[in-house]
Amino acid sequence: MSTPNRRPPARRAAHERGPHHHTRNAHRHARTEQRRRLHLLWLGTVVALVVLVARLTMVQVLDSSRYTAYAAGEIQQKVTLPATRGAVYDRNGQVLALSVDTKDVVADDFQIADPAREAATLSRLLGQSVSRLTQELSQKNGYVVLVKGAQAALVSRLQASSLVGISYLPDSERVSPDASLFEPLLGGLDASGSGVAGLEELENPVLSGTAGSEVVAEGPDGSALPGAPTKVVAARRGQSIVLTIDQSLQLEVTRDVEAEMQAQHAQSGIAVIESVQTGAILAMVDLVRDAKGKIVTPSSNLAVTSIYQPGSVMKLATFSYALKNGVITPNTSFVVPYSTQLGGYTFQDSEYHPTQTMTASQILDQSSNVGTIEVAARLGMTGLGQAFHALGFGQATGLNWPGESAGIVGTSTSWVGSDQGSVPIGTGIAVTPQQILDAYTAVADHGMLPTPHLVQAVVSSSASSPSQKAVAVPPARRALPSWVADELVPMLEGVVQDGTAVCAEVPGYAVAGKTGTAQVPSSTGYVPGDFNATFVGFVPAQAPKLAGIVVLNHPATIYGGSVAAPVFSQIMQYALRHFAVAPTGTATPTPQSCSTASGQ
Amino acid sequence: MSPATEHAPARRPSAAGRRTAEAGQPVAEPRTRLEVLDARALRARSQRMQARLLMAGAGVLLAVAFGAVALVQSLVASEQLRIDSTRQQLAAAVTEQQQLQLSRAQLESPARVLALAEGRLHMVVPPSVTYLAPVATGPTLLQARSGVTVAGGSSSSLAKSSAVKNGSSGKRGSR
Repeated sequence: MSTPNRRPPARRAAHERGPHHHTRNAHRHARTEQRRRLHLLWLGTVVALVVLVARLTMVQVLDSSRYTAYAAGEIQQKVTLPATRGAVYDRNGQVLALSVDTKDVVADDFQIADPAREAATLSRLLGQSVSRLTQELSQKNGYVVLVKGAQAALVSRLQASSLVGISYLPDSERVSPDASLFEPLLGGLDASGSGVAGLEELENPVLSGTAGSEVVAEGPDGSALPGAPTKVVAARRGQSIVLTIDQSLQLEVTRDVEAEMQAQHAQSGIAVIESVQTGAILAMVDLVRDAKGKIVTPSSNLAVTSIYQPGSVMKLATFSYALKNGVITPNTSFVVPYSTQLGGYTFQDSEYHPTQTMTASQILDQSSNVGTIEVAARLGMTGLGQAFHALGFGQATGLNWPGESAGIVGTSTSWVGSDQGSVPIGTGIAVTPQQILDAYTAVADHGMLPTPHLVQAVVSSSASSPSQKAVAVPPARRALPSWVADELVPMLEGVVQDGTAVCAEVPGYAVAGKTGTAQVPSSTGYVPGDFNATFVGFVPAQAPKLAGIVVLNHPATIYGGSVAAPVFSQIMQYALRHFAVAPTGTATPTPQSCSTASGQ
Repeated sequence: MSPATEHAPARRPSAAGRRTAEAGQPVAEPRTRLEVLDARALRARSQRMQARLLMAGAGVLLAVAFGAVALVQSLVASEQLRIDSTRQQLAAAVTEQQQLQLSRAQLESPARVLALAEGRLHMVVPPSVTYLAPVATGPTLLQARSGVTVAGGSSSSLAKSSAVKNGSSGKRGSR
């Protein structure tokens, strides 16, 4: 095997090289040219690749989000997931209001090729007429709501029928099993599911929760693409609330007030029962007559939103500060005529009597207007203004109820002329039933004015480990010295035992309270024959547990002692048994004593 | 781009060889032709072989990778379907739970219970309530057995109770 000679041939003169030399040169030249072209090709390819990579980088990296959004927008829909609203329970865990998940059945009529055929199928499932459905599905507006708040069973049947262009949007329905009992309390929701009245409005931040969202991929026909990636922000369920209300007591109070309204042909009735120790409202009933004369629940909670001229129940303020300021004792005597003139007006007692000597206790027992005006004269209007303020009149109760009224009581400087006679006996001013009840609860609780409240606890929204958290209630504030309250209790007990409110007696229990009867004012003066009858009291008198107020508007029998006091008695008979309050052994009232009462 | 040496034409048999064949003499086995390969050609061939192997390997890897991706995608899709199905079941269960809670509340409604009790079972609210109050004048059981007499009481009487009878609640008609 020979090894090729790799040495380059010796350079020779050009003329010695011959024709082969030219051929090699040509080959070399061609090869060089080929190599140059190849380099150019490579260069071009590389440049093209660089441009391609640069463009790819722009599309895939720098502008990727924009293009991704474009692509996603073609198939993805963002759907709001409504948060389930929290429930409302009574103090024993009974459901008062509950949200149930439903679906809105919506048709996209652009996708429905044969509206008549689809309408025929839908008609069988929805129970709607074919012609109406056909008309609705032929509108070509892309969004036809067929059913709002459809239950799960109906949705399942619709889904099983594989209808084209039908989608199901999440919604919820608020249901109250005893709506007729609790409507003024619970209030209502607007179309967006937000509370607009009552407790639904008051506790809306707690109940409403936080809506979530879901991005779902849909095919051209609007159907969800299975397995497509979804972005879900879960809705946070609203928290539930536990009220201080007792459902059974609410029913009993409603029945009693309704029966009295029927018997007395009253236009409206209000009753509130409150725990003396805590200020927790146990029952709150509002009833009115509608245009047809039927007794129904009003849309608002009249116990805190409506004001009225209360009458003699306001004498508590006069007597409390007269005692506090030392201008009277329960046994201080007054010479009380039947009537008196003040500021150009005549004030008189409800029933004629000759001028007589009465103690302060007797004046309160018999609800003497003239006697009370004499007590107020000793107290002075400044003292009376202080009493109103101390007992919470003219101020919000602390319930923070939407639309709550503070009342119209004025101040001592604004009371002139006849006001010196009218204000001490509870006329010429306007307060809410709840304010009156709170003032009497303060007397029952040794002078401590409670903060009334309706919500006692909040239940967390965690489904796995629900927990109940008590709601902090502002503490009661001192309205009266305890000794004043303690002196008032036997005086108010006397009103029920010997005075105008014998019909308020509860067998086996000592009751303390006060009646009130006042004409209903209008823009042209008092309305003839139109009265408000009130009884407010607490029981057992010596160790009070429950306080309550009953107000009836325009009853046939006008006196609070004859109309409202018996309702109070009936309600408390039930309530005391219901809450297992031991009897105090008080003598049983006789029916005759009640029938002869004409409590003012 | 193979060098010219690789594809050089086979040489023709020599004149002596041709003569032997023509004379009928046995023909010797043709010798393996040898080529003269330079190191560069050998290296290039080796590099081509390596490149082919590399490309084949890369192709196999790519195929395996694509297969793996497809497998993972199908697994993800099937799991997503399972999650969707579970979520639907959960939503249905929540709705059913709400419906049951509502039904229970409706059944437990005091208004309904009262209506049923009065209407169907003909039950009535008692017109009066009797409270029993213990009287502290009698001896205890222990005292009675031991013969101890309490002032104002008899040893034979164990205990007395009196009922505080409440009056008729027919107030509604007596206002």
